[in-house]
Amino acid sequence: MNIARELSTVENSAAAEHAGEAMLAIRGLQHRFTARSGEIVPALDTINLDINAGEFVAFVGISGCGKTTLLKIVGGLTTPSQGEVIYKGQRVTGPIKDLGIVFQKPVLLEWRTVLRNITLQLSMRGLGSAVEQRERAEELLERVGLAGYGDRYPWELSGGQQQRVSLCRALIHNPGLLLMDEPFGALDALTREQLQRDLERMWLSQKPTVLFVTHDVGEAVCLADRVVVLVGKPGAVFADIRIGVARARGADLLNNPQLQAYAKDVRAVLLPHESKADGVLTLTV
Amino acid sequence: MTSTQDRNNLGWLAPAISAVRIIAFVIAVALIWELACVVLKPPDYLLPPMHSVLFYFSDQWPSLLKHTRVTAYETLLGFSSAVVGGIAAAYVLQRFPRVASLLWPSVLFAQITPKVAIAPLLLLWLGFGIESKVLIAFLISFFPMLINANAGFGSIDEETAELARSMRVRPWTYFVRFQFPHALPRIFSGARIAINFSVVGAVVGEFVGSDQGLGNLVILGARLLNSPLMFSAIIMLMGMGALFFYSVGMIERWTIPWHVSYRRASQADNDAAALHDA
Repeated sequence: MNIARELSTVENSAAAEHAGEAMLAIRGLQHRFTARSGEIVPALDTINLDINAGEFVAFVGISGCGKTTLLKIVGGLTTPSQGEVIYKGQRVTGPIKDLGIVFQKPVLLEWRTVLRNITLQLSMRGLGSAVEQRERAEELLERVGLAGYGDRYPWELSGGQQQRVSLCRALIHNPGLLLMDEPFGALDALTREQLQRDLERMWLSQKPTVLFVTHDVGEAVCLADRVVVLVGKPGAVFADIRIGVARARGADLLNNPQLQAYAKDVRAVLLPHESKADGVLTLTV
Repeated sequence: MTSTQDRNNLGWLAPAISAVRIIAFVIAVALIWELACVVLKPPDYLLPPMHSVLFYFSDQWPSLLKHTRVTAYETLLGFSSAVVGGIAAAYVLQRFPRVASLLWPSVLFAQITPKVAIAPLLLLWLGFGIESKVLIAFLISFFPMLINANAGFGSIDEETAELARSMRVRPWTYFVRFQFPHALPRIFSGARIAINFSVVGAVVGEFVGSDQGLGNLVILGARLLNSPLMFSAIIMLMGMGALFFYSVGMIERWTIPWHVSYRRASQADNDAAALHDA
């Protein structure tokens, strides 16, 4: 597709200039909130991470360890209290240019049809003509099994279908960085698995860098190249586990002993910390 | 299959059915009124029989229409400036929080001032023409517009705001593409209240002092003990108010067909279409 190519060549040349460096570097990142009571609440404690272009990184950890905050800071939606994020050789000071986001809720605009919810991403960025936008959105809808749903309104779709639309919206401009904040957390198990497969397939074809926050160890292991375990309040990186399992994995934890072994490893790292907090932790092994 | 079709047919007939209901209600009231006059025989200046009001109404129709036009004009002018002004003020208040903290006290102060009580003052300042009536209609319906638009603009969820920021949307685009459509249901709730308030404002203005309009006819009827005139003017006011209220509802339905309150009808259409496909 034209628009996607335009955008991706720009990004690739930018990435090439900084060859040898990580695409995304998080340096000495700390963050504190000021609660309404005036009390200062630390959320993140000195995070250092290097993430390569096209890498799929999952963040797992108990609730309240600052995973979501970390995502927002990386995307430039929140300014950190200390430290910095370097994206494609530049310090992040505001929302980064080629960013895609998927939230836990679909966050679709109820007055726009499915198709116009997806093309919103392009029209807000001034990318492509109306016809190009439409074609590209239809192509994406087809790839997530929603061909012909373009003219419906979001409320006419099921939760899983809505989240697929939200995924299309996040990918239509071929983002360099895709942030996903527990995107499948609100879905039933079967739908979740289907969406995990869709996501892996689309990630493989576009290869954006993905930061994926989840509670679900099984999900993290199935999808990610690296699982970063965050623990504590404030959150800190406790482990960084590379998942050396060939693609496409098809989100098939049940029949893949390799993935199961990794899931056990991650759980073993997390479990001692889990008991200290009241967070929810699900493990689908 | 049949039940869906029934529902669908009902959907088509629904406006006709409700119209029939309203007409039946009006006829029933008229009959009771007429009957009460026959049985109780109240003096004419207290309660004239229905038929004499109807006779007066049809006899004076051209004149009634002329006065209705004046009141309608005042109402619509006051209402539309309240809609535009209320939305604009709400935009300024939420876009510039510092201005907002400065202005809210004066907005609240303006609201606690009883508009009806200051109507004579406004007439004194603006004269007996339609300007004073338009201003009263505006003042009385401005606040419900402002409050509802403000609540609508403010109630957009954090994720949607973040989504917009991730797309690097500019403030004005954010307002036009995200906040305004999001606020439309609330704005229409405000407009439904404001349209009725505007009628009240125009009539109050005419009560205080005017030589035309339906409010003026009511006062005139009272002074002359001409109750058929009063009742005719009141009936005209009710008809006008109903027409305006209904029009706002139509515009709302046409503008925000996606809103929760209008979903059931099109959901039924979809069900029917799905069945048809199958």
